[in-house]
Amino acid sequence: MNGKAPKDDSFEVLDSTDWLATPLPKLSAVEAALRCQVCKDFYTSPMITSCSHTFCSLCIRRALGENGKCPGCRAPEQELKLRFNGAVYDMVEAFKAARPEVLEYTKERPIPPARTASPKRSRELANLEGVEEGPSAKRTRSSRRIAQPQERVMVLDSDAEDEDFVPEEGFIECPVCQKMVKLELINPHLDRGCMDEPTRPKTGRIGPLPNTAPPPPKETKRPERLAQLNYSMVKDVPLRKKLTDQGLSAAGSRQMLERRYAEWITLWNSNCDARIPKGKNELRRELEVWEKTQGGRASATVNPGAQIKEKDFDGKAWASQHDDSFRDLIANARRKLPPKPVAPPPHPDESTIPEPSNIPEPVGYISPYGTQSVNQGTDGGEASASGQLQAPLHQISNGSQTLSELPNGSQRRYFDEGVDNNFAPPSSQYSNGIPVLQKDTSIASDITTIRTVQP
Amino acid sequence: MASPVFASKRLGKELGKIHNALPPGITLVEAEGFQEWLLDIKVLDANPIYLNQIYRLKFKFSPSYPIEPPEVTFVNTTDRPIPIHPHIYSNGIICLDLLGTQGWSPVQNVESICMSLQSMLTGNTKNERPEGDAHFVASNRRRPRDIDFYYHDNTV
Repeated sequence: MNGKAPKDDSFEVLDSTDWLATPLPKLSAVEAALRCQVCKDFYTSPMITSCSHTFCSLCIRRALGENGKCPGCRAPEQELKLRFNGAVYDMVEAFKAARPEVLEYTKERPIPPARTASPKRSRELANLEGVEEGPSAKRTRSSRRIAQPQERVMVLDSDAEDEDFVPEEGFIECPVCQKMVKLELINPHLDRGCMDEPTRPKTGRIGPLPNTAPPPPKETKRPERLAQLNYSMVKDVPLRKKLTDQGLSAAGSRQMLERRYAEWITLWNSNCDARIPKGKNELRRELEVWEKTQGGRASATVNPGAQIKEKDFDGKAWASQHDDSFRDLIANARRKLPPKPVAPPPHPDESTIPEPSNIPEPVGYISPYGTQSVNQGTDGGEASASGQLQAPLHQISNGSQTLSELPNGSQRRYFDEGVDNNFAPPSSQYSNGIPVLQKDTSIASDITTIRTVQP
Repeated sequence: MASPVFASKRLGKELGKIHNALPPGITLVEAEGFQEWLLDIKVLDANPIYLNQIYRLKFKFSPSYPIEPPEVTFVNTTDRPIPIHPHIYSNGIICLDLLGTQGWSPVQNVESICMSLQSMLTGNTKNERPEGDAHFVASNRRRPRDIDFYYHDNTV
C-alpha cells in the first residue's frame, strides 16, 4: 500500500496484463485490490489486523513472526488480534470464479492491434473500443490461446503426489509453484502465472483423504489453533515432545527445533483460518518443503540488539534503565586496574613483580622450597621448627642464599608484600617502601610476624 | 521462514510487472532466476552530483523474501560507478533502514526500493562518502544484512 502510492492504477496488475488489453482496463484496479500486498496473489484466508490492513493468513503470520509489525503500516500487531475478513474472502472467491468468464467475454471484442504496446496506449485503445457493444462471434487466435488452457490445463492434483513423491511420467515439477504439471502444459501453466490454482481448493484439497466418499459439505470440526511458545521457557525435552506429538521430526539442534515448531505453528494456525482447511498430511508436506529449502539454513532469527538500531531508539531511557549495570561494569573495570606505584620503581625488575594484592603469587614463586622455606631462608637455623625438617633445611638455606643474593633483593620484597597485605593497603608500602627494604631489622621483625601468623 | 514457493511466486509476479512497465529512470538489466537481479537507476532531476550517471543495483533474494529484505548493493563496473553519498560506502554497500530487518516491510518490492534509492540520491547535497569509509571497506567481510548499522540520520 505504502510503496504503491505514486502509480497509475492501470499498473496495478501484477501478474497479468489481461485487463489492460481488454475493453475493461479498470478491472485491473479491482483485481489489484483483491490481492495480498505480501505475496501479490489473491487473498487466501484473508485476515484483518487491528490497524485494518488485510493480508493472507499465512503472509501476515509469517511477517508477524519475523518482527511483530503490520507490513502495511508498521504498527505493532499480535497474531491473536487477527480476525478473519469474511467479506474480502467472499469477494475474492466470487471474483476468481467470475474472472475467466469475464476475461473471455472481453477477449471476444476486437483485440487492440498491439498487445505489446504500452499499457497506457492499449488502455486508450481499449477505451475507444470498449464503447462498442453487441456479441461478436469472431474469436481471434490469441483469445483462443488464452481461453482454452483455462479449462483444460489441469494441474495434477495432490492425489497422485500425496502418498509418495514418485513423479509420474510426462509430468514435471513447475519451477515456480512446484506442482506437478503435464510436460506439454508447463509453458501455458507458467504463462498464466500458475493461475490454475483457484480450482484446487474445491476439487483437490479434500482429495487426499481416500475415505471421504461424499465431500464434506461443511467442516463440522475445525482444528484448534496452537498457542505460541515462549521458547526461552521450554526445555529441550518438552519441546521435542511437542514436536513428536504433532508428528514432526524432533531431530536437529535446539535452534532448528524452535524454528521448525514456529513454522509449524504458522502453517497450522493459518490453516485454521482457511474456510476449507487442508489435511494434516498436506501441512506436513509443506513443512517438509520448508525444511528442505530453509531448514538447514540456521539464520539468525534472533536479532540481539535490534531495538538499539531503530531510528526512534530512546538512548536516554535506555541509559537510565541500565544505569546500575553500567556503574557495576565501570566499578569492576576500575577494581581490576593495577594500582599505580606512587614511588618510581627502584629497579626495572619491579615490573615483573606480581600485584601486591595477589597473595598466592609469592608462594607460587618459592613453591619448590615449600612455604616454610620462606621463614628459614633469610636467617638459617633460627627458625628450626622440628628435627624432621633439618635435612631439607640445609638445602633450603642454600637455595635461599642464592635468592637473597639477587641484586635487588626481590625475594625479600615478597615478604614485605605478603605481610604488608595483612595490615595496610599496598600503596602505602610502596610510598615508604625503599627504607623498609634497606633495613634488615625491619625484615626480621616482619618474619617473626609471619611465624606467629603461620605456626 | 517461507517456502521457495512463496518467494519465487512473488518474484515471478514482480518480474511480470517489471517487464510490463517501470517508472522512469529504472531499467531492468538482468533477471535470471529468482536469486539475483540487476537493475539500472539514474537520478532524474539535475542534481549536479549524479548528473548524467547511471548506477547499477544488484538485488539478492533469500528464500524468505519478501518476509526478509533483499540484499541490495551498488555494483561497480566500467561505466557504472558507485554513487557518492554519505550513506553509500565505496564498495557499494548501502546504509538505509528500509533494507535492514527493522525498516523492511513485506509490502515493499524491487520497484519501490529502486524508487527509494532514486529519491535518496536526489535529495542528497553532500558530495562525500560515509565517515570511516576506507576503514569499513578495508575491514568489512560481512554481508550487508549482517552489519549492524546505526540509523541516526533522519534527514535522508
